[in-house]
Amino acid sequence: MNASPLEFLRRIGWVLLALLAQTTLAPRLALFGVQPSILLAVFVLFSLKMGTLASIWTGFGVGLVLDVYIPGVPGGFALAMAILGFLGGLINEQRVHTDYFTRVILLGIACIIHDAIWFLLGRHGWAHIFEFLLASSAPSAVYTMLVGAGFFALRPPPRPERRW
Amino acid sequence: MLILRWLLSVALRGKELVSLAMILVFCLWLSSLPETARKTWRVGMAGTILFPVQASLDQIRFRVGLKNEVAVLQKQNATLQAENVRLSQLALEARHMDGFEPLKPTFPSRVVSARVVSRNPIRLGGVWQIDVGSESGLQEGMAAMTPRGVVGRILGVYPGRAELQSLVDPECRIAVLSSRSRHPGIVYSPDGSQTLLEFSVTSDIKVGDSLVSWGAGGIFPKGLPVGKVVEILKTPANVLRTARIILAQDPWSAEDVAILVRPPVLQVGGGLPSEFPDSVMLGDSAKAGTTP
Repeated sequence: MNASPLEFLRRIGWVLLALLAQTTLAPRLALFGVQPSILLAVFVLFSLKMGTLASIWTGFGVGLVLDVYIPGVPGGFALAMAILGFLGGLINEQRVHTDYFTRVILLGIACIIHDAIWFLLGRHGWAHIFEFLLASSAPSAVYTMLVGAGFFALRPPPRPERRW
Repeated sequence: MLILRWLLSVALRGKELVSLAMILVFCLWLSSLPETARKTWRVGMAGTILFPVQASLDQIRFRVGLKNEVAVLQKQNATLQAENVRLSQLALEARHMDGFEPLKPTFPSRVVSARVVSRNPIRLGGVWQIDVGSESGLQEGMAAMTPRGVVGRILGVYPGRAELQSLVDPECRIAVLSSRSRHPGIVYSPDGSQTLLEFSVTSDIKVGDSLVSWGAGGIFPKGLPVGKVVEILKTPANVLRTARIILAQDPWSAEDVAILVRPPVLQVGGGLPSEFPDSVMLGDSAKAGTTP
């Protein structure tokens, strides 16, 4: 990516801020026990702007902090965030133009993928994964899409360039 | 199929897949650790990364909070200091007013309290403005005083304000008596700073004599304290002699004054009509005729 080191640090700062918001603000935004993932909304935006490599390692670092912070089998958040960073980086905005609504839908898919990876790595098994995704992950994904729609409106995607 | 091939080609061009593979191996290894090892890893990571970050954040929050608290306290302190000054002023004014209370029964007429609101810096001795005027019944020539003594007289009256001519105004004169010998003299100020007493060579006036108003001219009631003789000046032989006096009330330091609402009785010799007894502070005979 062509981002300057300062720009890169600024965007990392946004992700870390989102991590703080996720641990402090998100529980207060819970509706019927469903929390939005502010971190994922900001991180998807980060990966769409920064590309693959930076997103993988940023996701890994942030996920590792979550693994330390949240009880459970460690490694789940780190791997899930790193994979999301990889996938988001593949369709970064310098390669693929994604409009506003596509980004919101991608965020919902990212939530499902993230939860699925975390669930599998936590050794919960394949038996209840769909139940988990439907009962817990899908409502959270919808809520996250709503929150993410607000974030994405603040940083709208660039207009596609004509390449002919 | 085309999309998958494109994704694969993009991934293989960089170090992304290697990074991802490393992370995958690490995370799988981490998740496969036994419970005790996980706990050890978590404690180690928390102590290495989270706690220092948490401590730093706490420190920043503490310092920012402290700074905000200091700013709030400084603001409160400024407010309290201003309030303290205001209350001190009020207390001072109350003390001045309290000083008039014991004297009120001895005054021959109604008393109106007034505050000096401005002083004319140009005119020597000064003609000052006070904050009461014609609506309070003030008239030209009324005497102004404090519990210590005479300050001056009313020079002009307007709605809401009045002009007060102080004793140190070069154009002000007041007839006085020595409280010891009852010999008369005239107090005046030649330059707005020093105050002099002019008296006859035959008058028995000495250093240390207290001077009270004579009542001659009808403006100042008889017996109000005016000042004290501090020095008899050596002047060439003449029918008049001069003494330097100190006023009982320094006009420059008077902030609140009492105006005797008593129209001046301009009679030769200071004779007054019976409804305005003219002897104040002279004894029971004077108090007997005092009106509240």
